[in-house]
Amino acid sequence: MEKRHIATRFALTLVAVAVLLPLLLTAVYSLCAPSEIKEYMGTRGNYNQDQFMEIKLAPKQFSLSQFYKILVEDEAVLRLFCNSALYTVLVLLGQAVVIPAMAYALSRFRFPGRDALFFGIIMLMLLPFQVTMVPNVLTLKKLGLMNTIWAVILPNCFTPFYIFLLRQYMLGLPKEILEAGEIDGAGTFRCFFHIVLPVCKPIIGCAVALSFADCWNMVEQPLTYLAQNADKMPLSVMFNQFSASPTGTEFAGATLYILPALFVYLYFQKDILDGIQLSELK
Amino acid sequence: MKAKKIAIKGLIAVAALVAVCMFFSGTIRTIATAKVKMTQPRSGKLTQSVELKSTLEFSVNNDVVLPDALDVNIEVKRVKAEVGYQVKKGDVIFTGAVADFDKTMQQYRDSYNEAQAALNALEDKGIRLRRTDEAWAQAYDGLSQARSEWLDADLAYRARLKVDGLEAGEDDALPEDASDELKALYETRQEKKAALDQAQQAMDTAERYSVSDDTRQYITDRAKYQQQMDQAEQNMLQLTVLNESLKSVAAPDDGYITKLNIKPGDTFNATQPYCCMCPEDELPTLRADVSECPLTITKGMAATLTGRDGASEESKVEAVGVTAAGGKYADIKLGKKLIKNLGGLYAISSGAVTVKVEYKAKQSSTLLPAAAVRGSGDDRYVFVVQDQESSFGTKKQVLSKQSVTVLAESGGTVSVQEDLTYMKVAYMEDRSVSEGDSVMEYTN
Repeated sequence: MEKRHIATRFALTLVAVAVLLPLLLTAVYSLCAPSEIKEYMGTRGNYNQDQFMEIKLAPKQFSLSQFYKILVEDEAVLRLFCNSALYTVLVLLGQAVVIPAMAYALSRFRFPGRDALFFGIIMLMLLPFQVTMVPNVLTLKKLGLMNTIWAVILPNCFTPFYIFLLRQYMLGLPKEILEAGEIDGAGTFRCFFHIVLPVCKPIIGCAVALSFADCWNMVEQPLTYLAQNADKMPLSVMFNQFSASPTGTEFAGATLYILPALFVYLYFQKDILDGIQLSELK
Repeated sequence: MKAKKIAIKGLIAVAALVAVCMFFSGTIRTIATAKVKMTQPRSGKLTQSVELKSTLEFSVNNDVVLPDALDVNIEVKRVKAEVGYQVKKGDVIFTGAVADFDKTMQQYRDSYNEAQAALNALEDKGIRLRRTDEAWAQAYDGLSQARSEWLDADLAYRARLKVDGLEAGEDDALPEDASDELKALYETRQEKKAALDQAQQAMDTAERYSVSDDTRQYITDRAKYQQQMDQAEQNMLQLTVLNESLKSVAAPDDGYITKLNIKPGDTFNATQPYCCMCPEDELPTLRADVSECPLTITKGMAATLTGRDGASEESKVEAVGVTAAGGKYADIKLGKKLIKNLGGLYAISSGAVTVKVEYKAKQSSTLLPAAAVRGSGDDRYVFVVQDQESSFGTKKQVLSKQSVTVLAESGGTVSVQEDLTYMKVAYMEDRSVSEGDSVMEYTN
């Protein structure tokens, strides 16, 4: 038993290292001088087949120049960071208004077209973005929202996956809870706000965390809907530019970009795990 | 719960950091970034102002000699004019006196007295002249006079012949291409020759009279002593007149003093010119010495003349050339109004006027402020401002070093060979900068 555990643990440790190493290196490289990083990035594509590639594990000289550059010298990083934060907050707010209510309606009420609507939501959930991209663009153009922030925010307020996730969770809630409330005189909305939502906290937390990650890392939607408005791009899109021309500040930018996601995960860690366990997806 | 608290605090910290950085980054960036002035080089011809040493150059220099001058030394007491002075006829140039006047006068008096004493002694001999003796004496005087006049006329004619570069024709005839003056002198000579012949004929006639040797000697001695007395008297008169006239030697005509050969306390020979003058209507030019000037001064270039009181006049270079000694010069035109405004020719000749010629290059080149061109020797360069866009789309201005070849420098402008007219060049930075530095433009 112990030997199996040791082997298991060793394998898991290797996997953990492999997963965590890029994050650690990102943090370590963010403390290197920009010139050192530029020089290191220049070795990409110029590998010497006769020897092992150098892996930098520590900076030659500790420096906060990268952070100074992105926080003070180049205000564009902060501006793009704020764009990312803006989209994320507005999308989450929009989802908070729409998704729980829709999931509740689909789970608790019977109305004509309910199944068809749910089927449509499932279909949308399965379709990749590229399929729905063109209709979205045409619709947004018609509405005059192309190249505005609402072109990114509004479609994401109706993410089908989280509707499905919450609906499935709400289906698992015992009817007795709601009936008890109705007996006490609570109406539909009161039941929803005071009974259903508090009970669904774990899954909502999970959905918020996952949605945060989705919004924080979105690339296709801004590239498609904000093609002519580079000022409104989020930071996730601009990181693609690094491959073309290294500036020596990539790792500090990445570290800064990781931090909000890390803290959100820390906050909703328990909810994420509970949500995965409690949802009927398992 | 602990993880949630840490997460909340972390999110707040990140948000605060981002907010503070956004708020202060602009200010910090402005403080930390070098400020420069930017200029767009222009294409043009470099102009340089060159200060030159100059002297007045008069086209006419007429020698001025004392009228009726004797071969005596003059002592100069005061000189009232300087080179460059404009004088009117009658203006006093200098004052002086005949050197050793009394001594010279005594010499003349002694000669006169000697001749008179000899003449008295001759008269005391009591020789009486008969009519034939008087006739002979008259013929002798006439012949002496005619000889003297013929000699003067002959000398004048022959001197003129030499000056004109001609030679007398056959039998001493007038050359064919003689000038009117020469012809007049020849006529006079011929008249005097005829008079001499006539006098000689009269002398030959008088020779037939039987005049004794003593009488002949008496007559010739009497004539000699009389002549000596006349000459001494003439000399005394001339010396006295000269001494009087030296009390104020005046300019003979209106004009400019071009040269002064005298100084207070000096002595000079009265037959030599004491100064040179140029007629009033012959304006001088200002001759600037450009032998040491590395630039090529050409005709037509503008010239600025500045007087001691700050008065400034414009003129131009009207001629350039090479002196006999091999030095190069440029003549600057002077007008009456210009001379007057600058304080007169004396002020110009005394060096009170600064002469500057504006040199303009023949070919166009790129002109830059001198502060923009850096380096020394062969390694001259400028910092060119280039717009750079970062990966995040931020635009900034970065300095790039650009080597240049300096053609010429003049005051605050430098001429370079390279075409930089399409670039922005940085200069007058507020701190030390180097290639690759970000800069901002002064907005004030």
